[in-house]
Amino acid sequence: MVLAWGLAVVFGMCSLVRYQMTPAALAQGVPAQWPEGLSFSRNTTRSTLVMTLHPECPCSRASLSELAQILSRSEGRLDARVLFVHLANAPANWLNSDLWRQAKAIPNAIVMLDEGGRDTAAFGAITSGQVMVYDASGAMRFSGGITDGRGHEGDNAGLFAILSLVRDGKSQVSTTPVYGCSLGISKAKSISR
Amino acid sequence: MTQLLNIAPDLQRKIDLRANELKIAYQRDLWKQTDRMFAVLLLIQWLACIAVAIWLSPLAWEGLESHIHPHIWAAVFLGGLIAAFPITLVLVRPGEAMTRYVIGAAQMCHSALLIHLSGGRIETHFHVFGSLAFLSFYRDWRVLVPATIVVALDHALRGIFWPESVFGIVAASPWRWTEHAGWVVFEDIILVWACVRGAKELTMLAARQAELEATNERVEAEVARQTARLESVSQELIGTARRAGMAEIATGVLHNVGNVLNSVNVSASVALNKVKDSEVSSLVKVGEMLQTNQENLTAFLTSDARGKHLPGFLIELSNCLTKEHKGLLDELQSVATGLDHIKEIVAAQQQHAKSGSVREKMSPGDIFERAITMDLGVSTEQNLTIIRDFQEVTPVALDKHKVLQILINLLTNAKKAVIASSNPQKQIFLSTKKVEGGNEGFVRFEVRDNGVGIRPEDLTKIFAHGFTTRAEGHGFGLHSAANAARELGGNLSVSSDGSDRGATFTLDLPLAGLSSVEQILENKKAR
Repeated sequence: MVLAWGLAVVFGMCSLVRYQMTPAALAQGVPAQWPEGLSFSRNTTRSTLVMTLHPECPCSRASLSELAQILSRSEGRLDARVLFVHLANAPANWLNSDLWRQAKAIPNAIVMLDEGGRDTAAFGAITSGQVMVYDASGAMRFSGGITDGRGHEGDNAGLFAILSLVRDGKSQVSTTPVYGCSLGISKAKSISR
Repeated sequence: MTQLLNIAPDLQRKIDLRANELKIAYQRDLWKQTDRMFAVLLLIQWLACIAVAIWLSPLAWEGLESHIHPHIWAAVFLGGLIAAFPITLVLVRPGEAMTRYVIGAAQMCHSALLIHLSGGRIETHFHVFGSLAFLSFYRDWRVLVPATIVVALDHALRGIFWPESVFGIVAASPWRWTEHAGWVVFEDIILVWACVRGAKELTMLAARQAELEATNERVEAEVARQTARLESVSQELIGTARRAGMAEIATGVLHNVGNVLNSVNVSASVALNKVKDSEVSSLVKVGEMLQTNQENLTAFLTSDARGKHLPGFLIELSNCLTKEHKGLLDELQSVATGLDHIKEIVAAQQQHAKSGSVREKMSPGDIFERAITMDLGVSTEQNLTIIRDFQEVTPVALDKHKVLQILINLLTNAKKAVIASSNPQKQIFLSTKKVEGGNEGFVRFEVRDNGVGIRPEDLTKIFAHGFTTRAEGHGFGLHSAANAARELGGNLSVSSDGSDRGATFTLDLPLAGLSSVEQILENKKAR
């Protein structure tokens, strides 16, 4: 009886971990250079980080926490743009979310509304929590997630890679899995840009 | 301590056995109590998991479309699974080792689930350490083992298969899980020490309780023994007082009998003297004279000087003998009366002696009269006036034996008080009446005299054992009477205005019905 219960719990925990550790679809066609035609510009003196978010994605709460960590530990050597995708036909309270408030509370992070997800699509991002880092020259240096699981806070490969880029200008890791909700932007659209 | 108290080996073994029993009982109670606490905690944690999941991750999104987040299903079903089995064990097998081991494992599983649901927040990891501390409430270090194994296994397996899920980086050392488990073991060391110490304290508590119980038993046994002894002494004292009281009654009775016997003796002596001095001898001489002269009787009566006086002498002798006869009859009547009186006194005493402690219904006035007959019967010789004021009281259930004992004591005292007094009017006032009080009221017997009275300082001691104001007294009578009154549920009290002002003794006895047995005896007597 005890063994059966133990096995059932182990099975349940494994399923939960499996769900948590299963990454979302990777961004396709992330531009190697800072894309043109965006509604905002990058910082030409230091690296610029762009994070795309679904306003209601609960998993991205951990991504924002990690972003706050990165900004705090990068000591002002990184610009951050947080894009909240505002899809057409979205409800009126779409942006009235905890995630929005959490992002606004991060010092040195510029929170922006991405109407129709155009800017997000320009980066080829399709998952909430997707992060791209471009250096001062506009070259893409990192693309991926900054959590080690779905909605899981804590040290992770993405965080270390970005901090390494900011501090040393190089990183052995340039891409990591992304864990988050789908942004609802079609792959075709993002690729076409 | 044991050696200091010099406890016998048998008693020490008994104490040790009891201490072991108490320790087991304490542990069982503690384990059951802690089981119940964890059952509630597990239930709360389950609900908390659901609440956390609903609060933090209610929905998973794909653009504008959403569905229930898998965390909610995990909280409901996995959380329910984790909590349900140990809660069931608490209900079915409370206090058993397996129950608390499963609880230990379940608590750590809940920690893992909460950490997952909260997004791996470092603060949620405190649940692991808090839970270990809670588990130490069992004071059983073994409970920490399954809990620690769960934590260690969780980290080890995930470290091996999904290292990034534990350490955030794929390239973490495969032994890094030992660092995480090490902190748990660190707390375990402290908690194991606390558990062992707690268990020792429990053992000491049980030992002290067992010693206390043994001491209490000894004290209670000693108290019971002393109480029994006291009871025995008390009974003996009451018996002694009663016997002393009875001896005083017997003395009174014998005194009365003696008085009567004096009268009888005087009457008998008078009769004897009268017989000795009787004129019958003169009649004999007349007879001899007539026999001597029977052949010449006429000449003797007419010629002899003695014969001529003989008719007149016979007439005088006849008168004398008639007088003597009357005197003797009077004395014999007095003897008969005295003997009758003695018979009455003895009969009354026999009646008194025969009566037991069973109550019977009788008139208060009647029982007073019986006491008077037994005690004051011949005292009227000493100018003693008895004034009665017996109110009409319906027959009440009384222990005749004891009531007589009390009343005779009171009457004897009253009689002695008035005899010793210089007051020429020697009076004893006797009264009975019904008074209010208690459940059904009291019947009051009052013996008031105008005798020597009682000094104020003696009033409080008058019923004390051995206290007496008379040189020939023993101090048993009133003490015995007061005891008897208390045994009857009543009260004997005294009042006096001081020396030579007389005294009043009041006996209040409760009016109560007969018991069923007494009623049967009463009916039998009536038939």
